[in-house]
Amino acid sequence: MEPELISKKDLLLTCGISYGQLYRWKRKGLIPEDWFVRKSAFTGQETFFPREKMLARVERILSMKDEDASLDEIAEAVSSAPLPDTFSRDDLLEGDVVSAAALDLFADRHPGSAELRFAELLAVAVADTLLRSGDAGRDEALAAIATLEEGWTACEATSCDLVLLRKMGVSVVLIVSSVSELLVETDVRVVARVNLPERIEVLKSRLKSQERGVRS
Amino acid sequence: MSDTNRPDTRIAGAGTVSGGTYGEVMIAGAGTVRGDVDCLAFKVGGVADVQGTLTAQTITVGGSASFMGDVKGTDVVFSGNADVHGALSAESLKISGVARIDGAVSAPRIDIRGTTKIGGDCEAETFDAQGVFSVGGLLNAGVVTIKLYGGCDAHDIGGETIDVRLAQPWVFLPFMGDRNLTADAIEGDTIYLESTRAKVVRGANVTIGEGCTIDLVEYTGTLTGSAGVVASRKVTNPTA
Repeated sequence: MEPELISKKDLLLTCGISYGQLYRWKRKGLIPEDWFVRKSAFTGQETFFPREKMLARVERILSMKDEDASLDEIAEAVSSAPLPDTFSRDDLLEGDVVSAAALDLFADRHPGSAELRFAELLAVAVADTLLRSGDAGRDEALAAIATLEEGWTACEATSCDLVLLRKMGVSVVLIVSSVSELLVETDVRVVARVNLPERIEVLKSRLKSQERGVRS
Repeated sequence: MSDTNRPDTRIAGAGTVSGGTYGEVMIAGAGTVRGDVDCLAFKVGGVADVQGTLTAQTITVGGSASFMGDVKGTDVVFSGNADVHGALSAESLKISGVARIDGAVSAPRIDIRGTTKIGGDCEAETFDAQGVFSVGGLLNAGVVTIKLYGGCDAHDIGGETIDVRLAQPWVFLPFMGDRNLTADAIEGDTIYLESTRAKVVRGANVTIGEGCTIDLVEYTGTLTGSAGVVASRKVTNPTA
């Protein structure tokens, strides 16, 4: 499905930003190159953006600016700059990226592996979210980790949510596209729904602030 | 600059340097660099053929150099003839000779005094051109200052302040030919244009000076001057 687009002109008017600002953000890498969609219009070529993603990104940039973050800081927070290939348990704990309880779950599943790949770390981070909120028990968090480990490659490219359902004490974990609505029978309760791209951004900004902490 | 890990190397006649890590690489005669080079200073006074990527703090080409791969430096000065087949990134890029870069160019500060052809996009905080240039993609800079000494073009130009003026040469320039700027779209906050041909100019405050042909001007603030403007409209309400 092709996402709904917004023209550059409409974007600027809707968000109250200027051409100069937009070009500056582009230079700083705040807006991914592939979000700029060129299409021919009656005035020649015009630039469009994926509407939802772009509006959310502009809002995020503007709100971070309100908190006096520099453009470089915002760029770090929103960029998809490469991270290290693996993360060690000790570093993660030291930076308070994820909780020890969530990491222990992973360690139970994969005894002896002290280094986590990013996909594994994401699985742990999602489990961490579920545990911290009290939505999920230990077994459910484990199921979430297992589901993400297996399903991650399939949903990496698109925006997906991890959903935890419970019916009469029996729980089910599934991954669905972020835009899809869930229609469930009456006894089923949607206990938690975690948006993965959002979680990834939070995770990355934590990792980066940790990196900064180590450097300074 | 001598250092056991970063030896200096120098070609005075004709020779070949293999890729690797160096302190200073100096090519005064005719030299070929085989492989990727990482050095502190790369200087070409003669003719150099770099068959890999180059990473250096200072890159000076006074002679003639051709780079097969990407070039990355802090201070890059091309006063001779430089040909980069990859992308070029620097903190400061000064071109007073003739340069051709096939890929994208990115440097906070770009000064063009000679002739420059860029195949890809060009990004800078300050882009200052007093010469002849061509950008195949988007020229995106905070402040774009162009003094026209010849025919310049960019596919599109975007930035905060865009200022294009006809140079007032203090010497007679008989061989310069047409002096103008051509672009599809020019978008910025404050725009001043002279001798410019563009399909569309969009901005907050736009001033159209002498010698322009602009198909459409869209502005949110003010439009000053209208000679050569085919159509213009003030953009106000998103719902309109």
